[in-house]
Amino acid sequence: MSNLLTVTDLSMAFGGLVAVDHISFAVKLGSITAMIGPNGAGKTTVFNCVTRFYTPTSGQMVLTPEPESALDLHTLSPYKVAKKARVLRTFQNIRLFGQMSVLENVLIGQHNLLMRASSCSVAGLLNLKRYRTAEKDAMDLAMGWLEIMGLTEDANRPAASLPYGAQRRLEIARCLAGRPRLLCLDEPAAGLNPKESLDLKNLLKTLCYQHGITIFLIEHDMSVVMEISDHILVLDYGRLLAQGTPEAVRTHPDVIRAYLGEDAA
Amino acid sequence: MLELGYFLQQCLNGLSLGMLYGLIALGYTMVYGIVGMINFAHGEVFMLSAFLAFLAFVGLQDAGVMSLAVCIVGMFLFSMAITALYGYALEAVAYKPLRSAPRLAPLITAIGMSILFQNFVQLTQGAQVKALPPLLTGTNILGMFDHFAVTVSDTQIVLFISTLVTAVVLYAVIHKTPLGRAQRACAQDAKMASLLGISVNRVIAITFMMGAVGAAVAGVMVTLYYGVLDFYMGFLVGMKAFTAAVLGGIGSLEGALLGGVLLGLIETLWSAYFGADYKNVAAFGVLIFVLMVRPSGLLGRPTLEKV
Repeated sequence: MSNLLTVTDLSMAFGGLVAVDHISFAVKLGSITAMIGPNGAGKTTVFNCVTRFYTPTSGQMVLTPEPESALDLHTLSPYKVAKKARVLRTFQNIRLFGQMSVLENVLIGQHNLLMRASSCSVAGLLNLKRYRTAEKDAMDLAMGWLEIMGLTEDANRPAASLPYGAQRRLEIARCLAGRPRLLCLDEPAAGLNPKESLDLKNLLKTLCYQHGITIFLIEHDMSVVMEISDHILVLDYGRLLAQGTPEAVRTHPDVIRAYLGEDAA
Repeated sequence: MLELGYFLQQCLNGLSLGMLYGLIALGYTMVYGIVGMINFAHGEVFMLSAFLAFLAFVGLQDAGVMSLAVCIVGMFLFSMAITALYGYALEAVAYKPLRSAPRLAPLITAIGMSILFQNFVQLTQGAQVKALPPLLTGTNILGMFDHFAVTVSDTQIVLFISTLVTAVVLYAVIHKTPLGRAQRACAQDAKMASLLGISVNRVIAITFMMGAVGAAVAGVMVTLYYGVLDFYMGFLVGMKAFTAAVLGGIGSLEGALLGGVLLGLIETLWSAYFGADYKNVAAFGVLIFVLMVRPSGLLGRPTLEKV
């Protein structure tokens, strides 16, 4: 498998605090890569750099979406990362558009496509056929993802009225509507009950192996991480402590030391 | 003084004035909805649009256009297009560079732009009042009440129609198109919208332009209705329209129109029964009373703190 995302020597410093310290890794196309580590290890900072929410202090981040030409994420503005590179993300805390309906939240994910189809909404206002077709396709795609997420019945409810677990799934559906090349999930299992957590595992596997979406996630729930990941990155104090398959990482002495303390190793 | 006919006539006049306020208030409310700030230069955008309508009229007369309908349509198109560009420029100069600055900074630049626009018009158009002869002179009698004829002028009819069309188009854009969906998304969480691939800067710029077009419709109508322009006219009208937006619930399109109409009615009825001296006191007094009872305005939602 080829590398989709290649990060080389990434650093991010906030004044004197080095949150991410010369990290290099790759995310393989069509795989699930997890990033773990204690709180404050710099995991979310890596995400923020990749999605250009932050501008990294140094390092390269290159997306290689074959057969198209490689994109240097560093040169893209934040919205272009989503629009052109199609790297889409969720946050630790839920950031849905609460007053909009569930369906509209998913349609927002297809904004650029619909804007083009509607000539910046002029065709939409005139209700031209070209726009109606595009809107219908967008609607079908949105309903398709909502069905996979088990949210079909809730399509017209305000997003804020959904229960917590459903809101998490809706966030993923909203990203999927943007046809992501790389889907970045920041702690998707946080706050889920064991049943929901199990569903999430199956969902992520379906997305990756059936729909071919490359997934990059941060997660604390080890049952999720160890079971679904192809590759794991372990961060501690902003450094890359270890990386490899779940098996290799589980038995890595540095990882055990970081998680369980000096004595256990 | 208490005849029904007189009352109805004043209501009709108040409604006309209120629609002008409402049209301008749409711009305040839309910009507030999306960037959370009051665009204090919006009154001047309205003033510019009135002058542009005046210039379009003079230009069309010079070009020998005789048809009144062509003249009026030309005034609308010219004024709306150029005012939209002024709205775009205003945003690009006074707001965009200060997107992440403290909230007070764009407020000051807006006031700066407001003074700039006033002086620009004063220098280029002169400080004297400009007057236009009434273009639409027809009046239609709606009915007789105790020998009092209630009339609606052609100008008022054009005003009602153009206000309704503007409001319906803006409403449709916001609720039925991808652009409007993006506007609503940016209003709720601009950072998240940009991470979903929406160009927030572009959406904000378009919102300013849409607000400017609303003000331009009002500007053209004022030129047709009153026919008196000066470089300072944007200030008080802007204040009133801002009051209308707050009265109706800032952030709500329907609220802006409702607030505008209420304000227009209060002002006109007060003038009609108690004299024009204290009409502004009455209008702003109502604002104070409404805000004491309903701080978020008549149709405004109570603000939810973002987590």
